[in-house]
Amino acid sequence: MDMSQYLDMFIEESDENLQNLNEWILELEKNPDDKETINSIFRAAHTLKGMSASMGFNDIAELTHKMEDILDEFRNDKLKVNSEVITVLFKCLDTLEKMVDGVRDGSSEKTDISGITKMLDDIAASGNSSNGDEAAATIEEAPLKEKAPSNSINFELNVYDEDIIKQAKEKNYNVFKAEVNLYNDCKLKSARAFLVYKNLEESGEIVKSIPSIEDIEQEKFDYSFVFVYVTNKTAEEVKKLIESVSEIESVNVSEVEINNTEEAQSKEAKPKEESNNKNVKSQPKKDDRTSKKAHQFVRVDLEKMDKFMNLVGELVIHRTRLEQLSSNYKLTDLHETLEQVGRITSDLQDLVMKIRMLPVEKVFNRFPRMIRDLSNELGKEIELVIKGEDTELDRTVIDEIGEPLLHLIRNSADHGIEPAEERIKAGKKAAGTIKLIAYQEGNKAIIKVEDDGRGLNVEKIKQKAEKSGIDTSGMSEQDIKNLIFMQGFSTSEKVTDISGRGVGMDVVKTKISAIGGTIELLSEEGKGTSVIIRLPLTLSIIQALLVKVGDETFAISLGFIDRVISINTDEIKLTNNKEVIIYRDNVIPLIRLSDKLNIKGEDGKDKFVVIAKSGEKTAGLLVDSLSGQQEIVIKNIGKTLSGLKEYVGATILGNGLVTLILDVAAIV
Amino acid sequence: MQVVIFTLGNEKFALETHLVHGIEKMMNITKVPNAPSYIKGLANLRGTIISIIDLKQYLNIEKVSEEKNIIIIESDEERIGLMVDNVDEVVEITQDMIEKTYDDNGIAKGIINFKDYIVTFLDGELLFAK
Repeated sequence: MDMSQYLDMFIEESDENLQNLNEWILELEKNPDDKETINSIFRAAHTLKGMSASMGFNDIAELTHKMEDILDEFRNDKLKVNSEVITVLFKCLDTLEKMVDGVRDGSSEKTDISGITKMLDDIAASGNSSNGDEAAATIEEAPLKEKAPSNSINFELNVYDEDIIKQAKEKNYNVFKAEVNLYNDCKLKSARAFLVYKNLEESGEIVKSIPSIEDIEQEKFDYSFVFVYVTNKTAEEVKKLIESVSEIESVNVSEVEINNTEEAQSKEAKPKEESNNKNVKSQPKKDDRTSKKAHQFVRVDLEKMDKFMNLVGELVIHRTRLEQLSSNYKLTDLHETLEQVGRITSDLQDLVMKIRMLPVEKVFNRFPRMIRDLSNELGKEIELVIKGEDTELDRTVIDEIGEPLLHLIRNSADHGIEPAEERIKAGKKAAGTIKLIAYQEGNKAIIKVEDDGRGLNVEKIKQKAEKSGIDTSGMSEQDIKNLIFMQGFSTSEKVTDISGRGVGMDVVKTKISAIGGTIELLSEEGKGTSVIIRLPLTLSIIQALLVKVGDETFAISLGFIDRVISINTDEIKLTNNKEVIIYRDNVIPLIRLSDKLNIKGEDGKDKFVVIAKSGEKTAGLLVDSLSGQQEIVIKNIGKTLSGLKEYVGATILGNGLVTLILDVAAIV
Repeated sequence: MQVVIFTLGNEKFALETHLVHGIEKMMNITKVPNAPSYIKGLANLRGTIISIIDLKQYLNIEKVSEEKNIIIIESDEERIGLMVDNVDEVVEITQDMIEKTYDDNGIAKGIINFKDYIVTFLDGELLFAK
């Protein structure tokens, strides 16, 4: 079979599983006794193992298998969760990640897993030795199990069956395998079998039958049949139910085990009530997780999405043309249909835009793990607070933002947050906090990385600057702070593994500018540093007000608009030869868009003022008329016009015409 | 090599076909205030916004008639439209038909001599390099 077509899927799914594993193991460290988390981890590891084995990546399968062994020990309480084990598990994940990356790059290089597997083996051994007899017990059990199915009928469960059984078990149903032998002289074989099934179906469900029920109905079987039965009755009761049918020679009822969970279940079977209670308690949590999984996803090539979007755009334009035709020829029937088409196309348009957006969570979710590792490595206590992870950004931006954020967080952890003693001396909490906050502001997405560490030391930067031949005289404090964005500028005296190689901040800045964003640094010595990244929501949808100046229409993002007022030009006042208006008892500057854009505005005195706010600044923008509010898609206007600061982009309106979007921040 | 021949004012020009992504009829163009004068504005090319350049303005050629066509070219990974009076034809030319010029603004590769008329052969890559 050609595997290459499954390769992409394998890689994507492995990434996902590894990410989930990272999150859950982190959670496990916090709540070592949470069985549900262990089970989730187990499931993810198991999926990973299955996938890699079926793709022929045996190293990955082997390593995950070893991980599973450890997790199993957790599950059976043979091994305590401690930070050492967690660290080894994380190392496993890192190795696995490397291996998956290797698969992605198509490199034939083999990752050496002997070291890590040995660590795992050691842990497993230490767990086993303390619980020697239990381990022995499981070994004894194993051969028995293997013998059981060797009877007459070859009975194999496929993945699907296993899944059903697993679910049934999770819900505390008993799952039995029953083998029924009829007397050899039985005349009504299928009738007997049918009666058996009928009796049983009253109090449970038959999930698998060999031969199949159809075959049994048509008497296509010898004198015995096997089936898997899910019920809340006990084995004894089931046996009795079956035996109540005549002409049955023997019945053999045994509990069904599933490979990877068998030990857990055989254990559960005995102290049933206890485990029942436990399961009930953890139920709501489990539901959470399964509902999260229940979302179904399809992976789509980004290029296809772009094409899709443009096609929808085309559709809209032609719809508008049709509408014109229908009104020209006064065809009412056509008009009604077109209205429907109109609704559908605009829904389509909305949808395709939203499909491209992803929550920043996708980037953020790797940081908790990173902070954990960093705080171990640096011996600092660091708490990571994430807010607004559901803020959506276009996929292209999401892909680019990870690396700069990584640098910033490392910087905060390494340089920003002080060691505990120093923090206590300064009257701060021993544990440092790094905040990662995302939100949308107008047509920009803001991502902030804040720490409550020592802040930037202006003197130090100054010294460093002078050493590298930069004249700092006449520079404001902020200018000096901004020097850290310069290439090769690092104030850290010692080069650490985490940061301080002088490649940090300038790389961050370059990367952010490359995706059209800006970066701002606020820092107060002793209090902390905060880096604010403003990103354009390229291709994102914004609510905009359409305004007319002369013959031209422009869009203004509602994010900047405080309110719109109508005005008579006589109300405009002059101060210091500049035009102002009085708005809510405040004097605010008035900007005539017609002057700013050098177009001829309409004559007449009745106009509108759009009160726009950008940061601390407020100004009134004078326009001729308003033509409504609508959702628009920001598109780039290309390099030839990128020098024009007045516009953030352009959009295509429903009638197919291009409309420029004003950058209020640049105009105000 | 193949070239597209088009008219600007009273002159004929040519561009290599491999640079040309398509030829469109005149489109609705949205003016961009404050943009350089040779940038006519923006147009919607099947869902993508492209800049439209008034090639006559750009090359300082006197306007004698309305533009009928837009030639879409790709320059620096960006598609732009060039307004031309008329696209005449696509012809195959040979290297020996090109006569070198010593054009000081350096956007012409030479002159294609068709005997009964001549065509300025524009260098698409240099056209908007500055």
